[in-house]
Amino acid sequence: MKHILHKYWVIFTIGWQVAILYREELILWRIIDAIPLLAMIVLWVSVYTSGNQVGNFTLPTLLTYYVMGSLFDSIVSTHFEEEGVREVNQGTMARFFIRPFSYQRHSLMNTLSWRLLTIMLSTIPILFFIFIFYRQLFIIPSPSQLLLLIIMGVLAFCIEFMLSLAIVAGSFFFEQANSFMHLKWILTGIFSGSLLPLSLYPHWMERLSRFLPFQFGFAVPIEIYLGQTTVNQAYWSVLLAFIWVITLFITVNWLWNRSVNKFTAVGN
Amino acid sequence: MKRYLNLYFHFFKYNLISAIEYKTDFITWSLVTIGWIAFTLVFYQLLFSHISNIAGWDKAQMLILQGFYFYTDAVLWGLFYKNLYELPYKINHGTLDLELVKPINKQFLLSVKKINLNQINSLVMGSIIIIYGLKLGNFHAGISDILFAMMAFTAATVFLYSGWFITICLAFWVERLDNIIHFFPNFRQFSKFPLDAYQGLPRMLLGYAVPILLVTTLPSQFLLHQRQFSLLTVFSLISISLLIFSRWFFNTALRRYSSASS
Repeated sequence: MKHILHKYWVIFTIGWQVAILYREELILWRIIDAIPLLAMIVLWVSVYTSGNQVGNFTLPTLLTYYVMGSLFDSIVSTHFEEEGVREVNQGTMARFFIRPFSYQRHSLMNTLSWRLLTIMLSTIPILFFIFIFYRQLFIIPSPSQLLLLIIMGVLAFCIEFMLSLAIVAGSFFFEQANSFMHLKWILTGIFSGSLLPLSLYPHWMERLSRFLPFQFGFAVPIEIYLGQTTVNQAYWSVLLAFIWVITLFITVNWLWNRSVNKFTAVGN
Repeated sequence: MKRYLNLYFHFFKYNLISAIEYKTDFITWSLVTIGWIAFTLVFYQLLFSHISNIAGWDKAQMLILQGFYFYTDAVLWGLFYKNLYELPYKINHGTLDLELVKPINKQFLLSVKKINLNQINSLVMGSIIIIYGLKLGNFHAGISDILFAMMAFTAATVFLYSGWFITICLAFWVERLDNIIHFFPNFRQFSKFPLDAYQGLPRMLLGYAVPILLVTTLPSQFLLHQRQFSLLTVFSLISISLLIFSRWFFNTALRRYSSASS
């Protein structure tokens, strides 16, 4: 057991070292990720200064929704699928089949190390955000909210991870699996609530979003944070997210096992 | 000049043959492009079901602006992306030599060799959305409005290319910076909204100092018969200056490049 744990700890630390070695890339990712958020803030400030009112949202509530939602999303989202698809297409995935750890576990440890650094890097803008806007925008969550947010964070990360893995598995069958990546981004954009709060959607679209797995990385946690959900709704969300994790875990495992049989490579 | 036009024609022909040969690839990425366009339209549809305008721009005007944003997609992803995507990788892995030894302008070769023809969809969809916006708002664009809008968009294209190329050249100074390719297209997201939506320092910075907002606002304004000739002149001069600067910057950056042959 100790030996196995050590193995994964080594992968984690290597991922950490690589991330620190190429820290310019990591910092640039944070800047790139911040641009759509800044554009969204400009949009909403402009909308409200033009005299509009959107649903029951005040401008500070909407800004908190986007800022904190983006932060949560940046912590739980995974981005290894592009490299995974390239590994399959170029045949370099073969190296994972002869190593004493699977591609899935390697990706998991690697992603966790990058996420940890992301959290550390996010601390600075968050402290800045709290310092500037703590009276208007920042809400200190209660211990029960914090616990729910942590549970939701873990479940959302698992869902994101499974979806990314499904795309990599898809590349064993379909050469242009990168297009699935765009499909994931589009669906996440629409149904996660990152575009608009789900309560502002038409009724049928909101109901659909409430059953899909994309909401757990953005809308659900931020609604918990803002106190817009009842305790029962929050528990239901946790249960639904858990069902999605199990469903995706079984599906992706089945897909992966079938995929590996399709793989051929020369050399590497 | 004739030599380079002839060369570009051959690049285009090669890319067209490639697109015809790999039909599935072409169709898949065309669908992805249409998916992203649909995504944006869903957003505006939802947004305008709650509000009447953004900084005085109503739905019809915003659609026209968005149409020009899709044009910028066509230009960036269609003409330059495949080429510039490879540049940081080549710098990092020392495989740039192959391009540097060829007897033509290096920047030209590195920027335009590959063309992504599926982006024709962005061009078509952008045009449809602009026409729809004009009809929805009951705007009548004359020939001169269209010509001036095209001039403004040409200046925008030069600005976008030069800005993107300059940021990618930063990869010469850093050991690995593969994601620099994503910076400028993301930075362009500010131009999804009109200049009027920005106030104070952001307006000064993004509207005039690094005029990314003019990329979509200026052509839209010409089409909406709000002619801004002085702004067009200034924007054109900035774009040309930036193109000249990109050439100098690239040549300077090249001095930092080293490899043990590739």
